[in-house]
Amino acid sequence: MSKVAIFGASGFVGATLAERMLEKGEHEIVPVIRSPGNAWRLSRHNMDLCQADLLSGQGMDEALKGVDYVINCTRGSNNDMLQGLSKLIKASKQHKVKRLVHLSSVMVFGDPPVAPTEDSPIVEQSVETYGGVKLKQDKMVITAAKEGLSASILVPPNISGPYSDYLLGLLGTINSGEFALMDNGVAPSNLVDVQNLCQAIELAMTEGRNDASRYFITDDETTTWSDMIGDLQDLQVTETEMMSISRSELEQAVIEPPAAKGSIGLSMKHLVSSHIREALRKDPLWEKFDLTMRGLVASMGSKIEDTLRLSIEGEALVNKRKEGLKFNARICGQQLREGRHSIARARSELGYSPEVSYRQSMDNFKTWYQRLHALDGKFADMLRQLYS
Amino acid sequence: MNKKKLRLAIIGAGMISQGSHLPAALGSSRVIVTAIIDPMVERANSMAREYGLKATTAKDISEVFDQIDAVVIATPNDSHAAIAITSLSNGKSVLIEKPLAMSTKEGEAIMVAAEKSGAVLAVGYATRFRNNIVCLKKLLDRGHFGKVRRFVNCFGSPGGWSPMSGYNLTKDSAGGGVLVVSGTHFIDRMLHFWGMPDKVSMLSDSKGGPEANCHCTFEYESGLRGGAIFSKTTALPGGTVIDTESGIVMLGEFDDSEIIFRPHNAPDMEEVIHQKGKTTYPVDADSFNMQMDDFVSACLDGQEPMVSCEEGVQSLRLIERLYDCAEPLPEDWFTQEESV
Repeated sequence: MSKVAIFGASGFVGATLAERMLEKGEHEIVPVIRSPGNAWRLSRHNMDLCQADLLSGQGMDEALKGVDYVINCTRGSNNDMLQGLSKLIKASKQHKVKRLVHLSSVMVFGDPPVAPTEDSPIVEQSVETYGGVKLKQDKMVITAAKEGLSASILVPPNISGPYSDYLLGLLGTINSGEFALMDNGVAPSNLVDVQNLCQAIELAMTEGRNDASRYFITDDETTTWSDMIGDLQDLQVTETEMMSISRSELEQAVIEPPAAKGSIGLSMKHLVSSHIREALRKDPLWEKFDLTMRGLVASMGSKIEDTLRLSIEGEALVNKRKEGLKFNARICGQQLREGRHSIARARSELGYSPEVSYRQSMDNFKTWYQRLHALDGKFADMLRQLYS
Repeated sequence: MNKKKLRLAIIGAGMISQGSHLPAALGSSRVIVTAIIDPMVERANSMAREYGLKATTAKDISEVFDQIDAVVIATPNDSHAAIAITSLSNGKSVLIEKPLAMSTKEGEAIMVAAEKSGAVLAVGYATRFRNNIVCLKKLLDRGHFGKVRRFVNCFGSPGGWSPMSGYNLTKDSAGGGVLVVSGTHFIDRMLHFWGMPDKVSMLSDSKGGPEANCHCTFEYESGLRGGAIFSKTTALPGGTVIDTESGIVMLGEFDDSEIIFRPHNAPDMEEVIHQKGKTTYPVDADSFNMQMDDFVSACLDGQEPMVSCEEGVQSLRLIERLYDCAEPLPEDWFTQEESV
């Protein structure tokens, strides 16, 4: 029986994989967690959990002792993801693991991720973005593979199924009335059910190329945003109405305004602004200084005082009331990520074949959501009051 | 008011001590923290340094009995009873972080030790010290909303609280799962409001370890029906909903949550109810601070503590009854049949 270490085992994919492998009993698993607070989904099985910190290296040797395969499902801050993977690669080499399976994202191909196949051109991105960090991670794994580490990179789109953070985020936006459906929802929605992704992870441990080649893993269905949002509306607990929006309106809304340019003059203005002075006045010496300065300015007459004040604070601002659509641009903007990703390579080289259909996946999510929120039970009418 | 100061030991230098019990003790003018105890002394030293304390640090409470009048026990649940009984037997008053102990049997042993010693024993159900809970209790006792028909409480977050000891990962050290770790607060308030239910049931997702999700129901001979939904894997909208003769009453899970009343005869309206004039506790009071003040008054002024040992034992009784009848929470979401 081979031994599999799952890093990020308390997360959505990691926990699903650990539960699935536990049930199948084909592998000895080492669920690796960073802290015990989020490990409830695993600890309920009374399974041995391994606490290790990728960044400090604490517990890593214990976690990788005798391990054949390493699965990287970790997430975190940009810095944690990069430093953590670097340490994980190093440790995997030291422990001579048979293969590292790394979870990437379609966002490595840019936003929108235009990539019909894995060989589509990569768009360089800032490491401040999620796609940029995932791309840098991919490059680290590819370099490690060139140096001899057997590795595989799986590239999923948004992940659905029970516990899906992605679907929960969408549902939250629908419930808060901040979702606007673009062009009646005709845009394709790219999803992979978490069980399908887990199946691909299991296959990638032993099948396919070992040179850190990428494999798209999706449900391989032609679903649209209309399908997905329609399903989620079945779970809506508020009475908000769905907004409609055109592609051009959405494109306009998601374009970010250029960042303000810094200047010494502007910085000086910020330094003497009322907010900064208010904070400084909490210190008795600064308070004295501020009082003296204010007295000095006041003694120059109201005209000079007003001129100085206006040059620092600017004229009084009136907030314009927002008109028209009010939607969550970050979430709704995902409808602009059109295009499908072929799973032909995963089918032929890994033997991947989606075992859960879109229909099943959404039904599973709905059952899970209603059950754990007790919205299918006898107190559902009262619980709904908490959402409104 | 007695002008004497209470010499206090904090036992357990974990998250709840660092974030709540120690700041509450240090914020009181009637307390001197003279000792911090933790089996990992370096952790106790670190906590003392963090707050600039010159307290004695030690591995075991027995090393500092001559320096203290009272203790706060904030250690993993499986150690509560032994530490409490030792402390009480040495005449030290005790505030125990919830739950009182691992079992009713342990709780009763603590109660016997407390009665023998004559020292104070208070249980740390801090949410009782919220103004909104005090106010809701008054309204319910006065029958303000008419007959109460049903109630339900809901509380859930995906993980969140991450104790240093990791005691929550096993039943042996926690005594249970989400019911004990999160749900026990509502169990205590429910008993405070309506007393012990006659019939109970529970669905749990435990597969041998501490449950991460549980759904409980309660039935009273009076016809009152109740439910409680607790989760450690899913974000749930925290709060209590009470269906009464005159309308729906709602209360969130924060110190400053408002009591909201939605009348049956005006479903598009809601009222906010709050105490007129001076509130029981200061408006912006932290419940742990109020709990500490209550404990100090019990120790120095002879006042009864807000949550007695008997009430702590009652909570354990109800929790045990729930675990005794627990059945599996159906998890059929990975085996849905293809929809037609």
